[in-house]
Formats: sequence, structure tokens, C-alpha cells
Amino acid sequence: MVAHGTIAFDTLTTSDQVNTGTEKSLDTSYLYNGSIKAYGHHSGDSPTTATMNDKFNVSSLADNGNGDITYTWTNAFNNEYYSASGMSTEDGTIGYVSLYYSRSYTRSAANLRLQGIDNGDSFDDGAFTSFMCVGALA
Amino acid sequence: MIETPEFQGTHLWERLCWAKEKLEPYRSEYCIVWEDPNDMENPAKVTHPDPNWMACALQGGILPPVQSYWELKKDENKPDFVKHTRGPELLHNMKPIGPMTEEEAIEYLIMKDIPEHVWRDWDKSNKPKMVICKKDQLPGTREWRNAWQISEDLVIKEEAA
Repeated sequence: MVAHGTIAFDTLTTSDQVNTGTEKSLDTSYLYNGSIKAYGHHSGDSPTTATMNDKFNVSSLADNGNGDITYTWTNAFNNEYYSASGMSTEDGTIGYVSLYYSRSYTRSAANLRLQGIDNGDSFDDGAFTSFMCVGALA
Repeated sequence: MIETPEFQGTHLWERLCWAKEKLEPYRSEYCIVWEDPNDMENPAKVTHPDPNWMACALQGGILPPVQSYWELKKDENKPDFVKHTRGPELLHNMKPIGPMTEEEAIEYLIMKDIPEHVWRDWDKSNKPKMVICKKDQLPGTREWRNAWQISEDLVIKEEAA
């Protein structure tokens, strides 16, 4: 039977007998602070769109134009210097779509603006776009 | 209906974890089309509510008042801003707001995620700077996406952009 509830602890410790036999400890705050705080996956080339397949800690997606997307967070980050990574698709027609911080983006703790550029140097929506962000939260 | 735990004092991110596990995402048929008067070179933008966020808004007891986000924005715009220090006060310890209707949730989202200079005076120019519409009122393809603008004769046309 699975029990749901809360376990409060500050440190995780393992004897690590199977591997090194040397006891190791991990601070719980390290786990919390190192976890992914926001992520998402959407279909980018549908007009009605930007169909949201799955997301977390995102309140909205703004379609700013071809290959230009802003994600706004429900729980903002602590400052604008959190880390983000993202990827898009290659479909054999427009070629690969790479994601960058948008040229129009003013870094913010509250949102992330990305642009997709294809291998013809045009702004383009990939068939799919995904991202994830890590950092401390407000 | 699932009852929302008493979340005041619980980190907002932890509430979102709870909601992700417990609530069914709500896919709104509405979106917000808007134009930034400070950025008229670019096409109309379209803001889509996230289904997980919509579920939180409709459920109630999870999200802070929209004014909390305004205060965070003010803090971030200060020239000496380094990092947020009022997260606990504004997001986690603030009493969460109750359940919203879909219409109220969209209005909240506008005031949270769209620049104030757009929504505050949305109807104070020759044509509206912002309109809430159904997604099926958007153009059917993205072929001319970078030419999308809010129609000047919005009242008599069905298409929003």
C-alpha cells in the first residue's frame, strides 16, 4: 500500500556499500535547488497553436511572430540569470531550427523569450519546441 | 471536486507540483491578441493561457493575487535590483485567491503577462490594442504570420487578426 504524505529531512546519507563502501551525504536543499523549475513542450507551427503539449510553471505562451516565443512563469525566478536550454526540430524542408535568446529579449526573472532560426537564416517555428530552466526561484 | 489544501505559507512552486499531480489541465478556447504601441514594427502577438495554469486559476486557493506580480515587476525594474527578496511575502505567504471563472482567469492573465501600457489603455486609440478572441478566429495558417495585425474594422469582421 502506498502512503502519501510528507517526509521532512535536511540530509540524505548512503553507506554506498555496493559501490565504494564510503558513506556519502547529500543536502536536501541541493536536490531542491538543482531541480528543473520550469519546462515545456509545444507544437510550434500550428496557427491556433502553439499547442501546449506539456508544461510546468508556465502561465502563458506568447506567439510573437514566426519563430518568436515568450514563456511567462507562474513562480518567477530569483533573478534574470537562471539557465535555460531548448531544442526544436529538423524536418527536411526548412532544415534545422535552432533556438536562441530572442534579439528583442530583455532578460527577466519573470519570462523567457526565444527565437527559432532555420538553416536559411529565417525566423521559423519548428514542428516541436521544448525547453527547460534551472535556477533559484523568487 | 478535489479540495485545495490550505496553501497560504506553502511555496508557490510546491503548490504547482500539487496541481500538476492532482488537477486536470484546462484548455481554454480563448487567446489574447495584442499589439505593443512601443513595438509597431512587429506583428500582433498572441498570448495563450497554459492549461495547467488555467486549472489552478479555476480551482482556487493556489495562485497569489495579481498585485503580487506587479510588485515583483516593480522590484525587478529598480536600477539596483540584484535578486528578488520579497518572494515569501508576495507569493508564498500571501493569502491565495479563490476560484475564478474562465473570463476572470483570462483577465487576470492579461494583467499578469501582458505589458501594462497595452492593457491599461487597450481601447484608447484609433483601434483596440488588444482583443480576446476564440482560437478559431485566428487566421487558418501561419503563412503570413508576420503580417498579422488587429483588424481596424474589428466590430464588423469575425476574424480577430
